[in-house]
Amino acid sequence: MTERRLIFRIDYLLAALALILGLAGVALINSATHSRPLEGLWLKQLFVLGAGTVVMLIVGMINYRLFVRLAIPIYVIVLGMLFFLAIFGRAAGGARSWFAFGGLNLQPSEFVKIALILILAKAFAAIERSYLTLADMWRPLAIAGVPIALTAVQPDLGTAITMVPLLMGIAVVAGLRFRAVVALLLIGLILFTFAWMFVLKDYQKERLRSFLDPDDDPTHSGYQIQQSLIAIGSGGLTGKGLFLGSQSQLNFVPAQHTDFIFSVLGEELGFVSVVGILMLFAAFFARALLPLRDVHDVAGIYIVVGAVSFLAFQAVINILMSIGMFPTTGVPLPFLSYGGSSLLSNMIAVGLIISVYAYRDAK
Amino acid sequence: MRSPSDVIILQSRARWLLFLIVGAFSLCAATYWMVQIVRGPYYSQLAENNQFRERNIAAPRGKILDRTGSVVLVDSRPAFNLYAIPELCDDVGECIDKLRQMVGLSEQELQKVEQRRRRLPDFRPLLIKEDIPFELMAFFEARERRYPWILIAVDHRRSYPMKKTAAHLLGHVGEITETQIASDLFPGSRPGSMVGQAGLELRYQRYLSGDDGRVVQVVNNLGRVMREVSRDQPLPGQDLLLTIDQELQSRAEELYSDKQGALVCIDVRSGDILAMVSSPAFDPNSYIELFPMLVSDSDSPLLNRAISSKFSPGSVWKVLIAAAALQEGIMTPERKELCAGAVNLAGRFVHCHASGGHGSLNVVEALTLSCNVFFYKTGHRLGIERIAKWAGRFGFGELSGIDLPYEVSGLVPTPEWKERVRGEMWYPSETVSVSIGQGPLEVTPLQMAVFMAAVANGGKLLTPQLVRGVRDLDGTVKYFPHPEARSVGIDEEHLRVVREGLYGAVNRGGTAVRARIPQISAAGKTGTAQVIRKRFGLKPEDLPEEFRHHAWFVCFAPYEEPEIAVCIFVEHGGSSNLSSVPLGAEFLRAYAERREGLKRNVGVRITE
Repeated sequence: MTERRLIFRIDYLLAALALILGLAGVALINSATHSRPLEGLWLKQLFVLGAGTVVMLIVGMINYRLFVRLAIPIYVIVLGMLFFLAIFGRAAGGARSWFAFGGLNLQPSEFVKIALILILAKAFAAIERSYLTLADMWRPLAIAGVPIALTAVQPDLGTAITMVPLLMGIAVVAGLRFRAVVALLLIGLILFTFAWMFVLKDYQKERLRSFLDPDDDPTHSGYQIQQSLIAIGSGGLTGKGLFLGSQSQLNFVPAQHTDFIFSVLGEELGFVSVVGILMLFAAFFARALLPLRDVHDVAGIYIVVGAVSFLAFQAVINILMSIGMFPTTGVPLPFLSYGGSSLLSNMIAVGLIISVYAYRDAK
Repeated sequence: MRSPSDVIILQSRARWLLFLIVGAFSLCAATYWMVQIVRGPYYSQLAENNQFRERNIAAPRGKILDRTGSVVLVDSRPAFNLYAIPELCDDVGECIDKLRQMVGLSEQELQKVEQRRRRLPDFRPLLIKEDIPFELMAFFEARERRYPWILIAVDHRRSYPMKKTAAHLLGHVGEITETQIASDLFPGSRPGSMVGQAGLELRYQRYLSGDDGRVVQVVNNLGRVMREVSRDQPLPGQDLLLTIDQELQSRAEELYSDKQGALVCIDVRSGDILAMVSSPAFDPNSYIELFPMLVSDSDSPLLNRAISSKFSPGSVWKVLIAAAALQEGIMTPERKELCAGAVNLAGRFVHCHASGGHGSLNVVEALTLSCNVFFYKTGHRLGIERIAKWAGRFGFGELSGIDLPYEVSGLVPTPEWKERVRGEMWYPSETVSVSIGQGPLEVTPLQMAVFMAAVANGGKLLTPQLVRGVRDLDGTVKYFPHPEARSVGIDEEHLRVVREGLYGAVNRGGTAVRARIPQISAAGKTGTAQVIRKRFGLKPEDLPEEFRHHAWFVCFAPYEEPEIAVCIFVEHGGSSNLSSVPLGAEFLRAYAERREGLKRNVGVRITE
């Protein structure tokens, strides 16, 4: 096995699934932005997708153990960027996070996820027991807590939230007891209550509230969900056809090329394509998780689990958010939503998975 | 280093992660099935309600100018309305408070803003104050970046630089009513359009209004504007060029400053109305504020007395009787009648105003002195049918066709009319009353002026006109053709006799001697209209004293080559000698002064 050449050890199917999802995203972005001032964004996304594919393959060809070794410096660098943003970003004027379309702005918070996968894999791998208690969690909690807090105050609640399942996914697989999970959730709830009262901004509270009853106040935040529901609901079984959705083409759904890309899919290509994309995702995650039985390196297992956790969580949250089953938290759909940083970090995560399988027998 | 069994446990836990993911995706598929398949029709309906919407861009309305084109009677000025867009405010209350300090809102205005705010969704512009001063507009425009939540929208308002001048003719504009939209009378208008509601604004709506522009927007099911699809710029309305001469009009209005009544001055050659006064008047600039007061005012300042009020013609009617009798051949210029101060006709004993009688007189003298007995006899001989026929020929009892809405036709009684309306037969004694302009006769001051014009111009019944033409944006004027005049059917030789009688009334010691002025030679006839019409046995003596009679003076000038006919009507004027005639003299003097200026103006193309 070790003799197999590197070029043959790359999981091209997994890479292809990610690329297909990305291409579907490009098509939807084109439809969502066509004949609007944003026209042409799909080209940008296609370019990032191409670059991301290259980056993904390069990462996949590098032994992931190198990254694990470099986890701390990577973590520190990304964290430094976050700190910089937290201090100077604010002074530059509170740009509304989910409203800021535009150029290829690098969003460090997206790359925090990659850094977190590596450093948490390293941290959990250092704990050589098959069951963990709450006491084992302090270090990982501190490691993840700092970027989560820094991202949340940016304010980018959506990205902050997606880091939680990343942590919890690895922790559960590492053997965190059920009691401890419950205890952590309780602590999280208490922290959330505290945040609601003292930290959360009004618009964030508004979004959470509107989630609870989108019909109650249709002119405010629930509006987005309402319009998205109309778009998706009116798509029916087979949809109205690409470029033909009245909701999508007339731009009724805010952020439809980013967080609400699924409303375009639902309206224009219908339930059939929604199931199709869900199956593509399922195939991707199955392909990412099933070969784990051949991986014996714990850090490698954690890297796969971490990457899958945040990607799957983001996918589920985004898809449910689009039809109002989850608050509008500003979580992009992996591979499909417009956004260079997000797409790039997703592709790097896939690259890490590929690397784990390519180098599973190496040292 | 971990034991292999440890690693196998980790791997099995990771597999559970896959089940979790597949489970979550199944949940996703189920919810989408609910939304797209089960509730699909419901959302399809909602999607259809997300539609295009057309919004109007009001075209600037044309101005209304006097006949010279140099005096603006009605102007269109931009008004700046101040809006706030609540969704762009951090704190709406603070925003409104800030605007309150800057533009100064009263408690009442503030309440209205609050009411509107409750009705409107946050993305809709919230009207704070209408018609803010230009300086404030400029202030906000210059600070657009600082106050992105402030919106200033322009609409067009009517202003009346000449205040009360010709207020009754001009009319006013107002928002189109539901009935008007349904009526098809206002093509191209839509809810919210400002249209002419009275006067010339109404009559010439289609020239003044221009074509509204239109912007097509995409709105969602909540009415939020998503984006603009297309925009047609509005085409401004054309300016209206009146026949009214501002100078003459102003002089005439001054004459009525302390009187109630009406004046109509018509060009006997063309039918152009040079002046038309109705008093009391109002200032259209404050029409809306004063409306409740104006409507309830017992003096009816909103009423255009010149065309919408009808009165008994009194002795002016004798002019018609004379012309008709001459044409019918029952009288010659030479034929004399004896006035002994009273006469018994059709079983009725009727008096002349000269108690001793006028003695023997011909038609010219009878007109000069306004002898009742002469015309009692003549009218009696003519009979009501022929009187009604000639009255109709002279335009009485029908609309003159002036280009103003709400004209009334008045009434010329006939036996058929009486039978139909009152169910009674016509008595010959009533014919006697009608002969001197009493009985159920009703005429408008305008009809009187048109009538006198026909006497003056050789028998042409003109259609009075208030508008000469329209002026385009580029300054070219399109004049409207004069409507064809109808021949009354009275020979010029007879009319010449009548005019001579009227000349005598002014110039040969007749009833209107006070209208004799050196500047211009005039001919005319006075008249008195009873305030409560004398009917069927109700005698003037029985009337309460406070009801003074209305006074008429209807004339033309110059006598030799008539240019204008003027009807002067003074409500409660009492004796015409003391009210309508001196007023007529003043007006004629004003006309004489203005004559040269008017001549110069005739036919001049006005371009700017």
